Amino acid sequence: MDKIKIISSHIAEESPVDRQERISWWRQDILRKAKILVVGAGATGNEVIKNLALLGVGNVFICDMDRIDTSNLSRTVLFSKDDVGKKKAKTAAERAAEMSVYPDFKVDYFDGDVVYELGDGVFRQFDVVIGCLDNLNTRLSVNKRCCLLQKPYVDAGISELACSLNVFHYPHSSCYACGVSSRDVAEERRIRYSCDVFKKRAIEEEKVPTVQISSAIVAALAVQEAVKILHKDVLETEVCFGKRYFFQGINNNFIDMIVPKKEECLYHNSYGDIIETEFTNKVRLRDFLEYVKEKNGEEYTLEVGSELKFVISANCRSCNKEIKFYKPAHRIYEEDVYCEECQKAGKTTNGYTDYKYVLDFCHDMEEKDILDMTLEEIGIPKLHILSLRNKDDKYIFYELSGDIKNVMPNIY
Amino acid sequence: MAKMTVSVVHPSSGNSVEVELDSEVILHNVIFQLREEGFLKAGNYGAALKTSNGNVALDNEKSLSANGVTNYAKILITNATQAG
Repeated sequence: MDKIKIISSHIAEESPVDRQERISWWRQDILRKAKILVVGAGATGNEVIKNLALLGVGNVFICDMDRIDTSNLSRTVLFSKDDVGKKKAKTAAERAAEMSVYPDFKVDYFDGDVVYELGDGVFRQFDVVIGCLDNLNTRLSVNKRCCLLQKPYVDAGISELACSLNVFHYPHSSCYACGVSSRDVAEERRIRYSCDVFKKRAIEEEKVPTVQISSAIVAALAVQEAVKILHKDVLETEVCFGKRYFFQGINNNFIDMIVPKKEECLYHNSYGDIIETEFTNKVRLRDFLEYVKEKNGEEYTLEVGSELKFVISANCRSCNKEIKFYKPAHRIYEEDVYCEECQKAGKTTNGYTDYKYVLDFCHDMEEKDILDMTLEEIGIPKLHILSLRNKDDKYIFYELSGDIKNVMPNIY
Repeated sequence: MAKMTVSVVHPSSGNSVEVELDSEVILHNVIFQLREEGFLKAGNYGAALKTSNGNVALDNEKSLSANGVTNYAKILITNATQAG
């Protein structure tokens, strides 16, 4: 028998993801189509974003409200000396685009307060949410949105050489809030808000000792969990939700634990069917309510929930004189709750004040002039999902889908 | 209130102490007292109960008995990891 004769040979062009694609179950096409929301672009966020870009995840949305500080530079692979003073979210997005293994990598960012200015509809667009946050308030807010939209939530946290990873997917497991004590929630509120509802401008935040090593460890674990979640249909081993993993680097002690589902947890709610609309948050309240009425043949009331309460007026904390606001509570700081005269006279005492607010908006509301304000003016963020209630307490949910291109111009 | 003995494991040294306490004492207060006694340094902590089916995160607001802690149980203390 003749020996085989090779006529020509071609050396395959090596793909940048060649080695990971050699993992038997790995599906690069899944990663390339995946959409991941990263909340927080500090030390852990930087590592997470870097990992996602290098793995070839196709779509990433980055949120952070802070600017880059010199003290960040020892822990942030995406930032350099020249970036000090720049916005973290934008800078991280630019660096991720440079670092991605794919030229068509899509990245968008949000530079603002995730708690009040990022609409719930943003969360709806993503396959996995990775939290790289430094405070309980935002963690609970992200958890709330993940519950409402039934999205997997991977939360990372660090302290010194220790780190922890929480992996949740309500309603299939407990949620982040199931593992948080009410004492911690109350303490967080005390730090961030005055004794009524108004925000404190200067927050007495403790500077937690951290090091880049622990953020790199926990970010690697967080992204690995996200990869497994994305591969859920092809992996033989199921991702364990409702779990907390704690690693103490001092003694290399690794503890994995179950976070039991709390039956009484206030976060265990989900939206029903969500109806997409072409509206943005620039629509007038009156026009929006009219649209809903026309579509459904009956009046519906827009219900915003206590975190988006709209303040009509408050009494000056010093002299009790009424001050008109017509603003959402989250745009009012505690020092705003003094009349001009008391501010000038320096009469600024701390204390509780009475205020008048609105949570429900409908054609019959007492303050008719609010109906001529836009949804943005009453505090509704872009791409939010609005809860509307009829007289029989039946709820419908409308999304301001017209905002999607404003919020994610590259991804959509 | 029933007395119980539990073993508490330090988060970084791995050392443990055996303590006798009331089953109805709130976990937060146990951690507070362990700080007072110098077993733990100042700071926030969580805890997990070691069981034959794996570790279970404990609720700091609940009593030991409500958390399912029984006599001779082992409690693993974890550091709070709030930073990002």
